[in-house]
Amino acid sequence: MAEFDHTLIDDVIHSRLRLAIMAVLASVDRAEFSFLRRQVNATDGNLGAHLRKLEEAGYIRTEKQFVERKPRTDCYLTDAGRSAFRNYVERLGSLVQVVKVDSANEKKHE
Amino acid sequence: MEESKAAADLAFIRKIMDESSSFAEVGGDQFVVWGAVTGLGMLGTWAIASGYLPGNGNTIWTTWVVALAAGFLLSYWRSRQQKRRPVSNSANRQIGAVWFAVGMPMLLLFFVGQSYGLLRPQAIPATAAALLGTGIYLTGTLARINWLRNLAFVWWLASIALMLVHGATVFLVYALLVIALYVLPGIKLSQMARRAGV
Repeated sequence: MAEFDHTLIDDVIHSRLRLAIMAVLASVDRAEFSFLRRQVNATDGNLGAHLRKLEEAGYIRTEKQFVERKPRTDCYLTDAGRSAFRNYVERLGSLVQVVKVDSANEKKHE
Repeated sequence: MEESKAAADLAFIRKIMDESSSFAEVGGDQFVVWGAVTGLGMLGTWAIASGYLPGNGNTIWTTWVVALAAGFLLSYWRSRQQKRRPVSNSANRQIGAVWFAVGMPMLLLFFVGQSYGLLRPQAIPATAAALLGTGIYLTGTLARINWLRNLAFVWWLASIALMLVHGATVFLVYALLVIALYVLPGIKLSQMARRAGV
């Protein structure tokens, strides 16, 4: 089998919901909590927990404020988050390539 | 991790990024405000030009200055009320740019073009309809709202029809068109945004 190092896969991003959050934030400049919730189809509590984990990793930044007495949270991807997301997607792409090469080699040997 | 899982994750990422970057909150309220203001302006122009209301060219000019000033104030007030959009992305920026690019030639043609007599007043509704059609087509395309994009073709057909209408009636026809094809779609767009819950 061609080389693929699974330790290079970022565990913080490697969760379906966190991956979805990162993908949303990578494609916009800023997203409000309600927009993120709608895009990733999550509950408030679940989304909040995953946002905290991403924030602790330094991948996202949140800004909390009150607008007409209602709390509002805006989320941004940080430079570190953008770089981590790009690396993660590249690793996924390379994994797909590795497996394609392997299966092509196997066919040759048959 | 298997290839199928990685490939599925990549497809998932692509889909979610595509949906997020193209998400557009079309300002239905702005359609309503500008449709109502220009519709009333056209109705006033028709009433004065037809003799139903007293006035002359200066009165019509004043009507439009007041109408457009009211439009800008109402538009500003609504955007202040709505605060920030739920998302800042390329689609929303492009839609904003489209309406700025449509609004500027309208203002130039109406005020400068008319002041120098380069544009007959009767030509304004057809010109406005053609420009509105362009704005609506681009907005519908960027926001991926098919019925809105298709509405542009109705506006372009309306533009042709308005070129064939003679006299002050053209202002009345435009006023009715703007209510039916701009204000009502604006109400529908606002309802869609509220239903989306963002």
